[in-house]
Amino acid sequence: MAASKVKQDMPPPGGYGPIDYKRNLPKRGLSGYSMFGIGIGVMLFGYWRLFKWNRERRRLQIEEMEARVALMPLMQAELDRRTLRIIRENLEEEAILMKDVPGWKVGEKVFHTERWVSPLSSELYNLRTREELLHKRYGFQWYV
Amino acid sequence: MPFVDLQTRLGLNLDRWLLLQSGAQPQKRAARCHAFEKEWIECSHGIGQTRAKNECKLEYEDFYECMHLHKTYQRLAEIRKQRDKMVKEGTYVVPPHHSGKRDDLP
Repeated sequence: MAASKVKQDMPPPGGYGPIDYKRNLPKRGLSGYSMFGIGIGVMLFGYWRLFKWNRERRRLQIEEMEARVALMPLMQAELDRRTLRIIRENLEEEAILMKDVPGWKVGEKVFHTERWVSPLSSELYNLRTREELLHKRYGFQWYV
Repeated sequence: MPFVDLQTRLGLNLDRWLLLQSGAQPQKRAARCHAFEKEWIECSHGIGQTRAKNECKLEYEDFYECMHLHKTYQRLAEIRKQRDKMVKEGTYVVPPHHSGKRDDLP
């Protein structure tokens, strides 16, 4: 088999070209320090924006509170008027209801003192439905 | 300790801040029975327990009533009971603003 001209699959004349077998770990991208720097920079930018917006929110909150303070006499007066009206209605209903009950003094106060005692919501809503009382007590939870 | 008053001596305020409803409160929010308690204490201060029990009965009863609201709730319950009784008998008609329909009054 040495010198017979059999068609075999031989390498090209002159051999194959060079094959690179060495490790190829190219240095690319940002370094670790700069990545940290970018992260911290983004964080600081975020903080700055947050603090600015919080100061703006505080200014808006102060404005809302000042509006509330300015309207408070009106609101308080209306609330007081409503309270007195409800108390008057309850007194009249009580007079109608307890006419025949022996020994009942209409409008009798439970306190000995002559001072004005603010009525409880239970007293004001005594003759109304339970839902109204619950709404009055638990409906409004917090100022925004 | 009764005669030694450690807290003033050491300048501490361990529990004096919570002893009285009528004391200084956080956020300056007054208790419901602030006035009643103040009246009772002003009445019964410095005259000893026996005399205070005799002389400050009214203030004490008002303070007790403010705290526990027994008489108030008793009264309200009786009015409601009477109203239910009269509605059952048919002698009383619940007006619309008491039976769940909105009243347009201010």
